[in-house]
Amino acid sequence: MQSFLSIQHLSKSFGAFTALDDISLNIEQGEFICFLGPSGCGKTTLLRLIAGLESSDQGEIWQSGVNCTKFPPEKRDFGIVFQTYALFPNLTVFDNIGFGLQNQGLSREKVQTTVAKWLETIGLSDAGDKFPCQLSGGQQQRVALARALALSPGLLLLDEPLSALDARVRVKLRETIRSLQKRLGITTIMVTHDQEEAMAMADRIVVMNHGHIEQVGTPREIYQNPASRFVAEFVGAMNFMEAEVNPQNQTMLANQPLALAPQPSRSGKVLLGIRPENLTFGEGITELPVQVETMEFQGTFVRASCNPLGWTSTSAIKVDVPVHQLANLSLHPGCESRLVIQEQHIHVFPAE
Amino acid sequence: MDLSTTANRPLYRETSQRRPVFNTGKLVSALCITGVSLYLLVTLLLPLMAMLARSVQDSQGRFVGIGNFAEYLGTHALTQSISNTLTIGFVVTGIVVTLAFLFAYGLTRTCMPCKTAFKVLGMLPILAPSLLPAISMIYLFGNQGVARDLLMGHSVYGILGIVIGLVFWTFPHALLILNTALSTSDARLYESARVMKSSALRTFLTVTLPAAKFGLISTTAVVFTLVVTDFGVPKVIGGQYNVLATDIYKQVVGQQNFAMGAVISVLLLLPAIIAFLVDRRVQKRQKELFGSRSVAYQPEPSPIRDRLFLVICSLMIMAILSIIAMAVYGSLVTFWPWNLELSLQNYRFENFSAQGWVPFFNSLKLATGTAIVGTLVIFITAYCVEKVKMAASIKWLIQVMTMLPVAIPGMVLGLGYIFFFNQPENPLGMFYGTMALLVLNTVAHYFTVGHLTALSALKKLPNEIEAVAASLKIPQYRAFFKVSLPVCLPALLDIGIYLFVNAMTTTSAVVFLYSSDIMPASVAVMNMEDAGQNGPAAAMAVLIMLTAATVKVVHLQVGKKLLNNTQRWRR
Repeated sequence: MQSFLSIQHLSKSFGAFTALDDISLNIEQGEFICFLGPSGCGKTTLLRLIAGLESSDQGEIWQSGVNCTKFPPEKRDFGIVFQTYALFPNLTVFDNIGFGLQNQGLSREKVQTTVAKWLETIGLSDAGDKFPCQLSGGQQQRVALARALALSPGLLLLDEPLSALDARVRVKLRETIRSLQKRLGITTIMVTHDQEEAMAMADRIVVMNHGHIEQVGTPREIYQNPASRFVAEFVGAMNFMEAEVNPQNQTMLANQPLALAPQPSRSGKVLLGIRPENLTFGEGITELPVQVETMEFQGTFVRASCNPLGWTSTSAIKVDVPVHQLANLSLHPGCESRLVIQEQHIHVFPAE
Repeated sequence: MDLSTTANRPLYRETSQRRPVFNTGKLVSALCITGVSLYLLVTLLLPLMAMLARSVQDSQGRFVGIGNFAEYLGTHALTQSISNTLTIGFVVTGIVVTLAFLFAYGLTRTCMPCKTAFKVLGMLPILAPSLLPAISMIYLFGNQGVARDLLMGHSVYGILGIVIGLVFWTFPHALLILNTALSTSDARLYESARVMKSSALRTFLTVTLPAAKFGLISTTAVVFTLVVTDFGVPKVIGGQYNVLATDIYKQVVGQQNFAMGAVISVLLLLPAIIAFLVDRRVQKRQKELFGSRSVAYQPEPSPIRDRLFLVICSLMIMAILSIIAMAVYGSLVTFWPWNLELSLQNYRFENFSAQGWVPFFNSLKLATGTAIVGTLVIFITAYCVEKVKMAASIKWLIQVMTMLPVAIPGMVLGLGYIFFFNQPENPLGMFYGTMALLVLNTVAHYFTVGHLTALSALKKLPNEIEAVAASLKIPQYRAFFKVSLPVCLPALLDIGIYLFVNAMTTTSAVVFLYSSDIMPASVAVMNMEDAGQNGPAAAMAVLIMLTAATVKVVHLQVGKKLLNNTQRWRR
């Protein structure tokens, strides 16, 4: 069975800059996929290739079993929402949503009822006669969403749709998009550089960097088993420490052996990653002496930044201490304490 | 399509097996780009090339290298024109920039009363052909002028008349740029200066002037180009004071020496292109100056300063109005200076020239044609540049060709048209001597400003409109007619009016291209004045100005109502 959308060996360069390098990816019917990565990683280019707004240098794109690599956008089956809303400024909200429907030759009544249905869906039933400039950013983006969905496309493409909005509106709209997507069962691809957004919304995340796919997986997989140092750093926070591998392939951190699987390493070194919330202060099997530098209150937890005492790390070690545990620890900036490392939380990466 | 068979396909198929999809959109785009490129090539670049080629050929069309230039530079009577042209250029530019700066300062930085009226009156000269102030000079300071004694024995014919006439005529162009430059000023800078207890003079020197610096340079470049390339004023009031623009006319029309005309054109092209390049550089840097976070400066009342500027600006307006009023009065006087009875005698053009009123209607046709054709071509070109995908090299070529006209003096373009369209082997030669060619020439001459207006209007549309339309299966042309075109309607109207007014008043390029049955009004002014018929010449010049003014007023009034109906979405 072929995937709903299949991308095979896709490459694209702009002059000397390689935007996408041999990308292959399968997306199933009804999935919500996020392309996640820093700016310039190729995520937007990949979306534009899927939309047909750019042409690929190499490779193929198959949608619903049809090779649409060479199709212009109007021959493809998708709706799109941009960061800038891109509403037709001189058309009312009603006409913005109805323009595509009218163009399909639908009867006036049919257009009327369809648009009314969409206005209700996005909660703007009484805004049909307004012009885009009379709406707030969040409202405009909802109109853009309704417009993209009005023709019932098989694929919804979202190009950083939330980036131009206020934090509060953003969270609200991301719930709206996600619940609408689930209800309609429409296959959706969203481009974003916000890892929190991607984790909250996606069925699967495609982490990209420098025109490559670094990892594809569910938010949980990406967070718990990052495939590379890049993914580990980009998604969530991660401390990195350099560890020695002795001739017996045993990993040593600050001269203490760690209960990790044997690590064959030619350089004799590995990089250990551990998330701030997986570190604790106190007593345990593997303890590391540290000095607390600063403490930032974050609401439900305090993020302590620590310097290693008598051993080395690539940068200050961050530790998240839940507020309810804080009382028992008597931590304060400048105090010395001991970090407990539990091996099951350690991610091992090859040393640089 | 059967999924089981597609699944069995090899992942990679030969590229040759890919069937290209026929794409109407691409075809239309390709046609548009080709059309626009060809249009600009034929109406601009090729005539210019023909002119350049002619400057290195002798009268038989043989290549003589720089022979013509050597001959020109060896003739003292001719080279004198170079220094004359530059003198006029520097003197007028200096005066106009100073006056316009004071005027614009009054409008933007003081609380003097009646600012709107001042601004409108200050812009009046833009509606007149450059011949009008020259004719007015004759009535005021000529041999039988009413205010001849003010000159204390000096003759107005020559540098004096040219300078006054050109100061009048270029003033609004300078005012337009400086007014914008001075009004986009960050109030925060002035607040900082006050916090630092800086004196008024020091604030002016360290805040006001640097902020207006780019505007001043730009104004200087624009005014200088207008002055050195103007033909109308020196033609009428220049007397024995020859400049490059009149020399081209004399060489071509008087002596039929086309090669020498081409040589002088090349020389005239140089300062214009230098001024243009300076202006381009400056404008590129100007953009960073006033960001979206700046706060606009609001002047506070200051009785002494406000009254001072009221006096200064009033004096300038009085000068402008008296020049216009003199021309109007002169046109109404039955026979200057012997019969001062007011009548419409001078407006009976059939009594003075064989063409009668025909040139006026020719000009109306020319202006209407230029406005319609020009607006269409300019908007399609701007749309192509902004919204249609094309190879970078073609885009560059089109952009260069759209910016070029502003640097090309009308005389030079007109001469290029003779050389290019009057070649016997050129199939486009059938346009030679027709109104159509006059229209094409005028559109090409005033292309750049309209193009920039269209571009900035299109840039206000979201970039992704076309992508969205494509995803909604709306063809680009439908999106164009339903969205891009209506959104740009006010800009289109502006461009049309701009072209109309300029086509009414232009003298330079058309002077080489008209034939007696399509003679435009501005040329008729020149010819009647040449024949010593000052009264009818003044009358025709006044008619041109009235027509331009009427169109402008209609634009403002009727246009406003029209826009209220179609631009409801703007707030």
